[in-house]
Amino acid sequence: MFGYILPRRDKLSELAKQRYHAAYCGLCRCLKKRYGFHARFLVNYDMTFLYFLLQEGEQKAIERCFCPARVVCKKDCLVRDEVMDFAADMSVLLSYWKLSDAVQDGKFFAKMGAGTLRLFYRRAYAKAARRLPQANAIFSQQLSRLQSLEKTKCSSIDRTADAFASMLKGCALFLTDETQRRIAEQLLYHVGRFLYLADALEDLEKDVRADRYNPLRYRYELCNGALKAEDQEQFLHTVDASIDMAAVALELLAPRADDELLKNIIYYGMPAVIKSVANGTFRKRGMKQ
Amino acid sequence: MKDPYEVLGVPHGASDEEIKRAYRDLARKYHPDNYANNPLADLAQEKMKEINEAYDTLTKGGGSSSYSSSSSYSGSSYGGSSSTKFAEIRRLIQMGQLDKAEGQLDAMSNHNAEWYFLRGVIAQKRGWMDEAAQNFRIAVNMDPSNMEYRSALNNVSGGGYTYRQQQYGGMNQQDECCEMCQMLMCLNCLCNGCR
Repeated sequence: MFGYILPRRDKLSELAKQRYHAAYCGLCRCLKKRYGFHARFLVNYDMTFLYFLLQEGEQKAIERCFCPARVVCKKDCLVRDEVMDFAADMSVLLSYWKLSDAVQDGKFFAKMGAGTLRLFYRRAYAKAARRLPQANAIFSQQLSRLQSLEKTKCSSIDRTADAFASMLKGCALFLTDETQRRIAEQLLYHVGRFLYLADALEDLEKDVRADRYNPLRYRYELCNGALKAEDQEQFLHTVDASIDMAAVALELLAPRADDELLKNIIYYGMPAVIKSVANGTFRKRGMKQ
Repeated sequence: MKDPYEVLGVPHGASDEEIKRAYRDLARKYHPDNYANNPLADLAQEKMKEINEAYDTLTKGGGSSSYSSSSSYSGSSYGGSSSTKFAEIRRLIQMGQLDKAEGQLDAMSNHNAEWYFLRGVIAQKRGWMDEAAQNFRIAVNMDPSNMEYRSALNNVSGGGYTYRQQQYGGMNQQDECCEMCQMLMCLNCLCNGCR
């Protein structure tokens, strides 16, 4: 969705790197199988994280699969299972609601672009919504809450982030064990909060220029369209507190087959991402490669 | 009851030293301080109890465990409430009835340090770290001598070590086995062009 949930590659073992890519490719393939070719474009690393988080079973095998972006060479893919299917459905749902948000928020051209894309994906969305009605209901409810908070120019970063974080929390519905679901909900809530805040920080300058809503504009007094140093420090502390909450929750979760990846993403990836967003060096492409 | 060796994550027949070390690492991980005002505190407490029991069994109750499991979990450390009203609100918070507790706070006209502190606790339990820090800061300013408010503020505003820093000094140690694995992978890459 946003591309802020990334591991720190230099601290990953080669095996984990391979599995991480294989999950990404597996998700892409799964999207195609469930929703048709164009759904492949909705694949993202955030949902790869979701896959590893929800994967309670043993480590899934890797197989070779065709990749349209490579054509001549095959790529490693994790075998498809119900967790992968769920992550694919969630990708479609979240992307669709994000497009809807862009249609609401954007200026003319952005609106048209998002509107067209949304039209393009409406059938995939309808299918995903049929498969996961409960999650879809949560998303639509929280998104309208977020929009009404944005309309009233809410000055609380917690309340606006809460609406978005509650959306992500909905992804834990997949787990059947109540305790495990509770832990995953808490974890996803803080990951969602992190996503929203990182996004707000990165877009701040752009939003000020375009006079769009951004919670940081109303929470802090800006200086030349940016946060003052001491405000930024304070802001980063609240983000840090969320990463901590996610880490604490992860320690309570039953161990996962790909624990190394989850730990790396929360303990190293998220702090590195917010740091680079804060000092302006975060480039989505740069971090991924 | 679960196998105590499994709970502590040590092999059967581990030495006392190993058991002790494993116990200490786990106890630090699930220590109540890490779960102050955390909605998952009850789960951490259960975990801590399990670890304590396992340790006590393995050491035959010899050196009884040094970490208590029930002490300061989920805000039972709340000390001396100034009024019965606040005590009631603390009870509601502890039971997880945050909306009700907030409603009762809103209805009060006397906004003293404790009032702000409790608002902070509610915010923190919801995961609203920014509002929690704001409220704790006001509480500390109004009553600078209160340690409870101070440690709550430190907890959310990065005053002390973060949980992650405590836990993971050691996660980046890659062992030789891993390096060898890496080398083989590189070789594989060279020979194979595309993986």
